[in-house]
Amino acid sequence: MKKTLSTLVLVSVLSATALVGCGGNGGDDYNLPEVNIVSLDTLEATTTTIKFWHPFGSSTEAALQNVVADFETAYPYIDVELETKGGYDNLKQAVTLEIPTGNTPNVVLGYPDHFAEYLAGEVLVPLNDFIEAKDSEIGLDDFDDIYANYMVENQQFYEGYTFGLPFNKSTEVLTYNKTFFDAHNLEVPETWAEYRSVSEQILTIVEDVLNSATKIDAASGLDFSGVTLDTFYPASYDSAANMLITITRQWGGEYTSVGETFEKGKILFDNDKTKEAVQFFKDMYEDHLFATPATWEQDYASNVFVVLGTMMSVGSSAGVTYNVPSGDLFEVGVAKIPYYEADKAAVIQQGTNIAMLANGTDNQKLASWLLIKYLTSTEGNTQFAIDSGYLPVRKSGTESAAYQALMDSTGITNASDLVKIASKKVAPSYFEGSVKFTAFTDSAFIGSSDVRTVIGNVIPAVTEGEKTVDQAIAEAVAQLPNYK
Amino acid sequence: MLEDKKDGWKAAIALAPAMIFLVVFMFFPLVNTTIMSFMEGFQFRANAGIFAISHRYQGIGFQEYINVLRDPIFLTALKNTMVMVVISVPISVILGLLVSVCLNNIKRLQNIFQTIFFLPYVTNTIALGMVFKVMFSTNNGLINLIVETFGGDKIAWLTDATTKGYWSALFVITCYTVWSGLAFKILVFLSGLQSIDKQYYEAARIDGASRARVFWKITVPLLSPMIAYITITSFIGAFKAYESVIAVFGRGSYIFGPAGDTNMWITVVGYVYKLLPSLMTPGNLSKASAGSVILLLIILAFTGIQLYVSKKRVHY
Repeated sequence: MKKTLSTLVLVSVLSATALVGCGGNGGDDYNLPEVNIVSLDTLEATTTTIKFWHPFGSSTEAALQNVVADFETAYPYIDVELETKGGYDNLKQAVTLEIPTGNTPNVVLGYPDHFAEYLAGEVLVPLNDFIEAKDSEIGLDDFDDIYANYMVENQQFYEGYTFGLPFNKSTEVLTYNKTFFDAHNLEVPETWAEYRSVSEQILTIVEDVLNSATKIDAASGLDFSGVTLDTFYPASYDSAANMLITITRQWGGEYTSVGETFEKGKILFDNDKTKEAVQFFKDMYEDHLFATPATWEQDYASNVFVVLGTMMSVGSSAGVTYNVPSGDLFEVGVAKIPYYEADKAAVIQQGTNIAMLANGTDNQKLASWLLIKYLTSTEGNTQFAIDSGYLPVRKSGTESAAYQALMDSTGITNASDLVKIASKKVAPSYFEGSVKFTAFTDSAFIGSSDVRTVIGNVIPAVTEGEKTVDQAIAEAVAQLPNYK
Repeated sequence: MLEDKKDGWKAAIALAPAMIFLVVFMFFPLVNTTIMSFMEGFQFRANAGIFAISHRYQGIGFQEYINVLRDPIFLTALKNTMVMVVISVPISVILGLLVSVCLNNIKRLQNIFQTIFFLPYVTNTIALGMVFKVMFSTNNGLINLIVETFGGDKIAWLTDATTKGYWSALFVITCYTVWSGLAFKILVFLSGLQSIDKQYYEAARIDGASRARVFWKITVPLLSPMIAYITITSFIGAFKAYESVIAVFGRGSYIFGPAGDTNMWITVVGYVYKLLPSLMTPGNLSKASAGSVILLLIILAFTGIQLYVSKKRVHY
């Protein structure tokens, strides 16, 4: 035992000493993978297989499979191995684990902060050479057709470089129980003050219903017998992280900033505006008006919404169909999320981008690019947007006859499809009317996903955890010493 | 005879498969992890393989150890781990011993009881955790139904992020840890009890010794090697706990507490595990390595103390 321990200590010390001798291997000069574009003739000469990892569950995966199948028909010499990693975090972890082994996929979906980490691992391929290729079958001559706001996050790391193209985009929307709102002549809230006021009205109505013998709301006909007062909260917000980031911006505070390069980020959320915003919702929670899904031991408020445990909830525009109850129990409405002050109205821009990783031959890189090009083309991307809950990433996609036909919703009676369409209509409406929202994404840097994970605990900590706002913010800051 | 020097090669061949696995999956990772813990700002490079020194780092030193020891989450993890070790190990060892002695003394249905007590050992950890989560659910959980039946109020066993919730969650985690670990302890103790020569008990009976005296003067001393083995391995197992907490809270791979405090019951291994999703963040892996080495040193110290104490107390 003693000998084994001594040997281990000795080996470790010797190894550490040897490292000092070697000198630092570090530095922040990340190399970009090189690109050598082969001709299409070379690619066509043989079958090329590429791996494409994505995070989707079964329904969105089915939409992706359809588009990939169309791609394989158009390019019969390319075989795409599609694989889900079951969620965005799992996907990022799976890719980073494969960086040292060289077994990363060829094509991957991801958020900008995922891409920051892939850049640091020197596996994220800049797409410029492909985009600018003279061969029209390879190059992207309709690049300007892609919504410019979606490109910002793909061009933020190094000036002049594009590391991804937008693929599945969404935003956040407010879903509400339209049957209940209409029956009680409740106004859909446009501001957070109205959100609180409507929540108070809802709570009063539901309290009366639950105190009645039948527990049936006479105005709407909804049966609340499965609801209890202690677990009923009128309003909710699905993602506690999105919520903190959004309300920080809406109240005029700052969340994070990125330094001169993506390698160093800074946390800024320890400010009075953020605290004021969080306090607003803490007060709502304490008045039994607002809850996060965690209050119900759920991951999403939709599970509670469909059984009348809450009457309105902010969530992803791509996931509104989860709010549709079985058996047409009630009608679901979709609206813009509330704002605090009109001049600072802001809504988060969600969804991932598609990128190429360095692993693979030149043939695989070209095949990967052709797949990326197809999936972000008017044809491929619009089809995916129609089949899934996501939004088109191109102007031509939004204006296409197929997408507009879907928006008309003529002849569509299925409740889920109707809600999905309503949600797709809300997204562009953020930029119309008297109050124009800003669609934002925060700058990505190495570790920004860690910051997001930590701040995701702030709202639950002040509600469920009964911490003060100052305590919750201070604890989050203490967990992020490298970003001060 | 393997002891014969001429047959040494036979021993080497017999040991080779195990040694190869130990070197590849135990000694190499241990040394690699130790090296990594001294590499400040460690970061993977593409295609650089598994050797720590072939990757990116910013300097050599103890900075990551300082970072870990200053990290409030690590200190919480260390405190939680110590609480779990101090509470769950004595309870599980004593309970395991008592159940074994009782099982050894019954004639009828012994095999059935043995099978029942052994069931947790062959059941999936996560499945067990899910069962506990449902049993201790605030609304409609079996335990709260019992509490309410006896006139008590519902307890938020696993969803309360206050100090009260800390202790109620510890109760659930301890129940889970003790129950799931009991099977192996019973198995070892029972085999030890059955190998004790019956003549000792006969002699004690003739001398008119009480049951308690027989237990303390015959059973415990003769079972002491087993007790020492179980105690040492239980301490090591308790120090390495993390999956039990994840399983009991059942809210995701990296969640160690209720929504209001997701690190409430994080353990040292949980702390290491939680750093892994962001492998490319400079220093995360070196912090995880430093945390692992600190835990290794703590376990070594505890084991050393136990071996020293057991030299005087264990009757081989």
